[in-house]
Amino acid sequence: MIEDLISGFAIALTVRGLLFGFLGVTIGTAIGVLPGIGPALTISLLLPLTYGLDPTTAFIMFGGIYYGAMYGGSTMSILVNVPGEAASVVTTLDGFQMARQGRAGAALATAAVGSFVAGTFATAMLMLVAPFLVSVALNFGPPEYFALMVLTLTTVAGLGMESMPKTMLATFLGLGLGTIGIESQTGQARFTFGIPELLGGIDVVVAAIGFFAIGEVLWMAATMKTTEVDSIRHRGPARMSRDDWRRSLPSWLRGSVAGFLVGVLPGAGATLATFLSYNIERRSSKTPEKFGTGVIEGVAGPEAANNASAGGSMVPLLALGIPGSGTTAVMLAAFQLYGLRPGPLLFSQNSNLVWGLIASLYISNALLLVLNLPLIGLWTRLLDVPKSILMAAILMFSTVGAYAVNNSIFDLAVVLALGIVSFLMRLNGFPIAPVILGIVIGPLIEQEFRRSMAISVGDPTIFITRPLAAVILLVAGMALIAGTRARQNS
Amino acid sequence: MAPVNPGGGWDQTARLVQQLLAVERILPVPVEVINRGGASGTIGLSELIARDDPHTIMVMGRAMLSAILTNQSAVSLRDTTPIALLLEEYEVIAVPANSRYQTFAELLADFKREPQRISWGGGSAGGADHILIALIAQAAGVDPKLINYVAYAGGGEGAVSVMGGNVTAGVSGYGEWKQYADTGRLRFLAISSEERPASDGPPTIQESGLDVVTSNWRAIVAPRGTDPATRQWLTEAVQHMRASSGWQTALRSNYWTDRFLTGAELERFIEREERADAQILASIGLISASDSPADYAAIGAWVFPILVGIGLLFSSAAVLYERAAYRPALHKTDWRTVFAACSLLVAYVLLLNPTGYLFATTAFLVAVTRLFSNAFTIRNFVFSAITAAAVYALFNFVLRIGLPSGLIG
Repeated sequence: MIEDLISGFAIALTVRGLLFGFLGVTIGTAIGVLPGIGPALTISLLLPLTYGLDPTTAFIMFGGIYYGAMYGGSTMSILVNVPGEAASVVTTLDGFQMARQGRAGAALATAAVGSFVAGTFATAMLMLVAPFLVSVALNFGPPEYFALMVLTLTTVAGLGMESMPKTMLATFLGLGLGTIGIESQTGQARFTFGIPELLGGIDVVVAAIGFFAIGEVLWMAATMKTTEVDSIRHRGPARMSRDDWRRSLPSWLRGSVAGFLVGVLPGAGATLATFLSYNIERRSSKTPEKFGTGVIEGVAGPEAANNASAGGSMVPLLALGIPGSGTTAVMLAAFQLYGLRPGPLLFSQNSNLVWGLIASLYISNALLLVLNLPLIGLWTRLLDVPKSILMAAILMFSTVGAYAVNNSIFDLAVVLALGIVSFLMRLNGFPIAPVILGIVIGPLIEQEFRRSMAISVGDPTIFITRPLAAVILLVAGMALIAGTRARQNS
Repeated sequence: MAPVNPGGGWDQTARLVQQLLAVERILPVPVEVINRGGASGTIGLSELIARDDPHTIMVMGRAMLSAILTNQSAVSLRDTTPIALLLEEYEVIAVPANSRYQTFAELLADFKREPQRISWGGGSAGGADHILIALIAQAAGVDPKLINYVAYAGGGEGAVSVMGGNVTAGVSGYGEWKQYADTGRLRFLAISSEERPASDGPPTIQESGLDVVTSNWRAIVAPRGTDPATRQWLTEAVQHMRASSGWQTALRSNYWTDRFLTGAELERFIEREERADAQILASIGLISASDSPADYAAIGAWVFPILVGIGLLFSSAAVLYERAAYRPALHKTDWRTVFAACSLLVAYVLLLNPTGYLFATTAFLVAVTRLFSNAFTIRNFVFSAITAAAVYALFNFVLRIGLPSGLIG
C-alpha cells in the first residue's frame, strides 16, 4: 500500500498536477463562498473543458473543487450569517456570533484548519478501510436510515437558544415545505397547485438563500436605524489563540469521524453530518448552554464534519461506483466519459488512477490550507465594507445564485416569499436552522419509513428487530430526553 | 438539454453525445449540455417546449413517458419532434449473492404464491424497472396492483439495497449492474431480452415460459416547431455520431444495444410505447388517484403530510400558550425600510425578464445602496454598474448559465 501511495504521489505531484490542484481549490473556495452555485454544478460546467486533460489531472482538480467548496461555504456563514451551502447552515449558529464579538478571524481559522484535518483524515480512511466500510454501508438498509434521520431530527432539541415550541414549529414548517413536489414511492404530486415548477420540490439551496440571505437583509433593514452600535464592525485578529487551538482540536477529530461515517452512507449527506456533529459538540461540552452564543467548538466540529463527509462519499464512489452526493454523481459521469467504470474492478484495473486520485486528495487538502490561511485576513476586511454595499452585494450574489440552481425566475419568487417568512420568524424569536434541516430530512425520513414498511410488509417491529436500527433509535430517544431536560434546567 | 440533475443517466448520455459531436467535429457549432432536473424529466420537457428553439434538443427515455402519464403532465411528447432513437438497454432481475433463490423459476413460484412477500427494488415508481415487474406479474397471472415495489433514486441506490439484502430482488439495466454480478455481489436470475447476452450470461425471462421481452431506451427529441430542413440536419448529425468509433465503444462498454430509428419510424415507435405503457401503468394503478396500488406499508402518499400538519397545529398551539405566559422585549422595527426593501425585491424579480439582467440589476443595486445609506453617491452608482456587469459577464461567458438579456438581447 505504501508503494502504491508513493507511486500515486509520483503521478499527482507534477507541476501540472499541482497547477490544476491549485486551480481546483481556488475555484472550489470561490463557489463555496457564493451562495447557490455548488460543486456539482461547477464540475459539470467544467467537464467539457477537461476532455483534453488526462483523467488523473482532471480528478485532482475535481477533488480540489469538492473540498474547496465545503470549506468556502463557511466563510459567509461566519461573516454575514449567509451560508454558502446547506452544509454550512449550522456554522451560522456560533460562527456569526463569534464574528459579532470580533472573533471572525478565529472562526475562519478553525474552519480552515478543521477542514484540512478532516479532509486528510477522511482521505486516510478512504485508503485504509474503504473495503470494510463498504460492507457496513451495505448493511444500512431503510430501517437504519430511518433511525439515523430520527436521530438527526432530535438534534433540533439542542439547537440555539429559542423556546422549545418555537423550535418545533420551525422544524415542522421545514418538514412541511419538504413534502412539496413529487413523492418518491408512488410518484404522486403533492401541494404543487398545478404549478409545474413545484413538481421538483423546493430546492434546499433556494430555501437556504431565502431563509438566510433575504431574511438577513430584511433584518438589517428593520434594525439598522434603531441599533446605534454596529456590532460587527470590529474584526479582531486573524488567527486562533492558544486556547482556541486547545478547544478546537478535539472538535475537529470528533467532527471528522462523524462526518466521514455519515459521508460513507450513500443516502445521508453532508447537511446531516453537520447537524449531528453540532449536537455531538454540545453533548461533549461542559457548558452546553453557551452554544449559540459564539463558542468555537460549534464551528470547529461541523466544519470538520462537512469536509470529512465529502471524503467519506468518495468511498462508495470508488469502491462500488455508487454516488453518495450530488458532486460524486457528477464525478461518476466524468469517470464514464473517460471510459472508466468506478466500482469493485477499478482498484485492480486502474490502480494508477485510484492511487493518483488518493494522493491528489491529500495534496488538494494541503493546498486548501495554503490558499485559505492567508486569505482570512482579507475576508475579515469584508466587515469594513460599508453596510449599504455589503447588503447590495449579498442580495445580488444570492439572487443570481438562486437563479442559477434551475435558471428559473420562479425560484426567485420562492426565495423572496421564504425570505419574508424568515424575517417574520426572526422578529418573533423563531430559529431558522431547524427549517432547513426539516426541508433536507423530510423527504428522506418519509421515504425510508415507507420503504422499511414495504420491506416488512407493514410490520412496524422491523425498526426494533434490526439491531443497528434499534440501537440508533434508542440513542435518539435518550438524546431527546436529555435535550429537553437540559432546556428545562436552564 | 439533459432533463435530470448532473450525474443522472440522461445526463451521461447527453454528455457522451456532446463529447462525440465535439471530438468528431460533426457540428460546426459548439454544443453545450444544460441540466433541468426534476419530476422524471417533465420539467425539462416543459422548458424545451416553452423555448421552442430548434438549437435546443433533449435527451429522453422511457421513464419520461411514464412520468407524463402518471403526473398527468400538461405537456407530452406530441409537442416535440423526435430526432433519433439512440440505444436500448435490457433489464435484469437480480438477487443478493446469499439469496436462497438460485433460479428465476423459484422466485417466480414464490411471487405467484404470495406476491406481497416479494419486495422489488428498482428505479422511480412507474419507470421501466417497475413496468418490467408488472409485465411479469400479468404474464404470471398475478394482479400487478399487488406488487410490493420499493422505489430508489437510481440504479446505484437500488444496487445497494439488493446487495445489502434489504429487498428480495432488484431490477435495473444490464450494463449498470453487470460489474456487481461479475464480482459476485449480485446474482442475475433473468434478463428481459430475446436472447441471452452471452452464452454464460443470465437466461431470458422467456426461457422460464413467460412471454416478456422489454427494454429501456433513450432518444433525442427537438421542439415541435423544428422545420423539416433543421430536422434533417440534426438527424444526419446524430447518424454521423452513431457511426463513429467512439459511439460504438461506448455502446460496448455500457452493454447498450445498438438500436437506431429516425423519422416516421421513430414517431410510430414512441406512440406504440406510449400506448403499451399507459395500459400497464393503469394495471398497476399509477394513473388515476382513485385506483392506487396496494400499499403494504398502509402508508399512502398523504400520511406523512397529515402528520406534519398535526405537528404544525400542535406546536402552534404550544407557541400561543407560551406567548400568553411571557412576552419577550421586541426590537423596535423599522417597518418602512423593510417594506421598501421588499418592494424593491418584488420589482427586481418582475423586471428581470423584460428589461434583462444588466439593466434590472444595476437599477436594483443603486436603489438598495440608497436604501441602506440614505444617499445617492457616485461610489454606489459605480459599484452597482460594475458589479452587475461583472456578474453578467461571469455567468454568460464563463459559466455559460444564460442570464436574461432583455433589452440588449
